[in-house]
Order: sequence, then structure tokens, then C-alpha cells
Amino acid sequence: MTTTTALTTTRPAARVVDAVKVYGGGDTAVRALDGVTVTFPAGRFTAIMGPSGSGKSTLMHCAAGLDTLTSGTARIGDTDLGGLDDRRLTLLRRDRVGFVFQAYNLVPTLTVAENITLPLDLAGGRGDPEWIDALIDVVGLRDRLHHRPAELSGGQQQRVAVARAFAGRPDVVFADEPTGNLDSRSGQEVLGLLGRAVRETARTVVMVTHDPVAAAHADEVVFLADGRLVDRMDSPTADRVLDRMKAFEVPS
Amino acid sequence: MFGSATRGTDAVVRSADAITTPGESQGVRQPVATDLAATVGKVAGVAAAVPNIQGAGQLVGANGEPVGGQGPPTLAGNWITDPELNPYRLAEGRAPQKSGEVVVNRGAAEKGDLRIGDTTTLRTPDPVRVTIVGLATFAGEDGMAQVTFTGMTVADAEKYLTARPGEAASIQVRAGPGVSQQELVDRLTPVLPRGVEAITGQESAEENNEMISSQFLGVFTTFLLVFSGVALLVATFSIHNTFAIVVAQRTRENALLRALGASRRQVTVTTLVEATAVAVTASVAGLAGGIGVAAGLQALFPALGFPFPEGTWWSRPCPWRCPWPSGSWSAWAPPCCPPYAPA
Repeated sequence: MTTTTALTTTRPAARVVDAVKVYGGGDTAVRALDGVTVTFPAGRFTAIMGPSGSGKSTLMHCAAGLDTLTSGTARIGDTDLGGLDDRRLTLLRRDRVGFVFQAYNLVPTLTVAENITLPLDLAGGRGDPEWIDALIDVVGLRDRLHHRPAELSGGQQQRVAVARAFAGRPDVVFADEPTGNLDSRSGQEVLGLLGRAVRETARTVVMVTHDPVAAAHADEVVFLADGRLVDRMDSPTADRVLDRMKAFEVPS
Repeated sequence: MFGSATRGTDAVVRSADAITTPGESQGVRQPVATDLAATVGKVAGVAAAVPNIQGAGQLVGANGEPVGGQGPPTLAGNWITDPELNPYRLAEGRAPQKSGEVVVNRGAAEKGDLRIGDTTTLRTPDPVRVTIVGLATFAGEDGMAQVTFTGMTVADAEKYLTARPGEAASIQVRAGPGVSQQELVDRLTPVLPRGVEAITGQESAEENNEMISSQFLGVFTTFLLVFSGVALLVATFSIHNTFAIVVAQRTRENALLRALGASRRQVTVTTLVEATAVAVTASVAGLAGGIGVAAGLQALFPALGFPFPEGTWWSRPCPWRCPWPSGSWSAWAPPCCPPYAPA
């Protein structure tokens, strides 16, 4: 595992090339990804946007190694995910990627502190206590460490999930609609956390969202439609993203 | 139970040839002469020798209905005066001394609402007027299960229960002090006429046990085994199905753990540990419940008139073994089978 925190934006943290993903077969085959090539640079906060069914979640799952591509390649850093067996894929998920889900997906029987260190416990290591400690302050949950997830608000639970995603200092954190279940204020907090993590600690975040306001927190937005990459936008604002999204709704 | 009731009998003299029919281990034997008891009684080492006359005799209860109905055997015989040789013990009253006097087992008396001093009819099958003078117990119980027994004087037994007077089913012999059963048989054999043999009391008890086991208990045991096999099968499938559903419901949680870096092995081991814990707990609970039911049955059967023999439920292997394979196999199988997709 490389623990580089290089600030170079040229090195790709994750990359997919000619990604094709087909679900099902025969007449009912669905082409969720149709030849997508995209690079998520290290140290950047990238948002994936697109209408429902455009393949943005599929792209994220394949890029993160949760799902496999029908054809094409997916890489995390220099590692080609297609060539990994189950054990190596497990180690990769353990050491090099983190996840934030829409439904928080905390383990209800564990406390906040246990949830945050769960990936480290599964890996059998202690991790970096100072890093974990700092992380707890960043997400502002020090006084909630011994609570169970059910005793927290949605925003607090998602902040726990963010802390869990960063606990192992992964190369890339993938967030799938992290604000989808939150009100706008809690959503802003979570997005702010993701943004600070990228800018202050040189992490890489890839976030799937359909919310232009959320996308505006990213350094860059990539737009997907019908399984293809159709546009990119640097330094997005909510208005520009919204305008671009409206263009998808025009019947072609 | 039979062992303890016939413990005092050291040797049995009987006809050597048995007319057996398939499926019957003891068969029907020729009677022996009653006066052979006198001959046998003179042999050195014999403490007592008494004829054992057996036949059928159905008591009629106080309400005019036959005791025992069409069910269990209704036996009649001579009341053997030597207490060591008589499987029945006199509990109340006295032994029959003159014609028409009988002893009945206490269970039969209670069923027929008969008391000492009552006069009733004994169907041998010819009706005989009898007066009850005593009540008997069998191996400490009120009777040998639901079998009714009527003990008469030797003369009455010969008269009513056998085809011809002077015949007995067998002669029960008790050894004197220091004479073993085998020695007794060895001493008896030379004085016996052709076609008559002596066997030890132990062999006789074993034959009785074998007859009862092979005929009634054999069927019963097979039935119970089949029944428990069916129960085991049903339980196994239910547990397997339930656990498969539980595992399926966990798919999401397991997928999360996999996404967070848990290996396939970790998820499987977690599930198996849980399955084992549940299986052990459930088996212990099931065993405790089974012990409770067994204890209840043990109390229930004597209450219904079927006293249990020596030995209790915990001496039987089956209740201990059954829950384990059922629980452990069915709980272990599902986590081993379904695929764990990485996501």
C-alpha cells in the first residue's frame, strides 16, 4: 500500500478505460455503461452526474471494484482490478478504497467508535490512532463515540460513515449519493467534510449525485447519459450544473 | 420388571418341545404332570417345587362388565404359596385356601370395583363363582401393566384351567442355600422323564423378555424410531429453511462488510459462529424440553396403569443424540451454500 499524499493532480487515483457493463443477456440485456473512459485525478473531488439510469452508480461500482466490467479496464492507482482474485480484491477494498453510501450503512449493533474503526478491525490492524483521533474531531463526533447509530440523526450517521471511509487512509473514497437521505443543512455538512478531506489531507473523493448543489462542492463534474461520458466541467457552480442538467431533459 | 418379579425362581421344569408358529418365540408347550413337582421336590438342593398352572380367566366386575374388556390378557392360575416362586405378592387379605377362593391383582380389583369378600364370576370361559380373599401386587406395582391375574387354589386351577386334571404348564423350582441355578438344573435333569427339560430361572426370564420385546415392544420400538426419523427430517428441513431465509436477509449486511474490506472467510466464519451458537443453545433448550416431556411421560404412564421398568430416560441414548445432528447440520449448511457476491 502506498501512503503517498502527493498533491500532484496529474497522477490518476482511479481510472476506467472503454468501460462496458451489460446486465442480463439476450433480448433483455441492458447496456449500463457503453464505452466510458474517465480518469479521477488524485487529490481531487470529482462528482459524477447524470439523469436516472445514466449509469453513474454502475460506473462508480465498477471503478471501485464492487462490480466487474463486461469489458474494458478499471484501475485503482496502478492496479488493474480485472486481474485481481477475490482475496486481492478484498485486500484492495480494505486498504485502498473507502465507501460512503446513501443509506449510511452503519452496523447498528456497534457504537460510533466501533463503526469508524470497523474497516481497520476487519483488516486486523490498529491503523493510525492519531489519524483516527483527528478524524473524530473533523467530523465533530467526539461526544457521540459510545452511542449507537440509531441514537444519532441522519446527518450525524452520515458523518460517522465519512469518518469510517477515511479511517484507513484510502487512496480513493467513493460516495454514492451521500446526501440523498439528508436535509440540505446536514447535506452541506457532509459535503463540506468531503471537500475538506480532499483539500486539507490530499485525499481523493469520487461522488455520485443527482443534486447540482452537491455537485458544486466538487472540483470537477463529469456528466453521464445513457452509459456514455458526455461532458466535463471544472470548478462547477450549482447554477451551471443545473443548466447543463436541464439540457439532458430536452428530448433528443 | 419381569426380571425382578421372577427373581426367586431358580429353575423351571417344562416340556422340552414347543409348538412354535412363525413370529412367536415361545410357542405352545405340552403340559407336565403336576405330581412331577413332588418328584422334583425330593431332589437334593431343592428348597421348593410348585406346579404352575396357567389359563385364561376373565373377572366380572361389580357392575357386571368383564374387567379389562377385549384388551390386555386376562390370566388365571394357581396361587403359588411359596412367596419366592410367586411373581405376585400378597398385599392385602390372605391366600386362597379352599375351592372358590381367589386372589386377584390389585389393579384388576380396582378396575372392577371389587373388594376383599366380594363374590363375582370368573369366566374360564365357563363361569365359576369365586370369592376374593386377597389382593396381590406384581413387582411392587398394582399389576403387570393392564394384565389381570386371578390366583386360585391348585385344585381349582387344575379343575377349571387345564384340559385334564394333574397337568401344569411348568414346575417352578427354588434352590436351597448354596446351590446355583446351573447346579440345580444339573441335578434335576436326571430325574425328569423323557420330553421334559429343566432350564435356569435366568434363561426363563430372558425368554419372557425376548417374547415381549420381539412381539409387542419390537413393533412399538420400530414405530417410535420411524416417527422420530420423520420428526428429525421435518425439523432438519424447517431449520435449514429458516436459516437460509435468515442468511438471505443478511445479504445486505454481509455485502456491506465485504465492501468495507471483510474477506469472504471472515463473513462465513462470522455466520458459522453464530449458527453454532444458535444450534448449541437451541439443542440444549430442546434437550431440556425433551427431558421435561420424558419426565412427564414417566409420571403419566404409571398413572394410566403402565408402570415403567427399571432404568430411566437418561439411560436411553436416543434423546441425547437426536437434537445435535439435526440442529448443527441444518444451521451449518446454509451459510456454506449461498454465494457471497462481493457487492
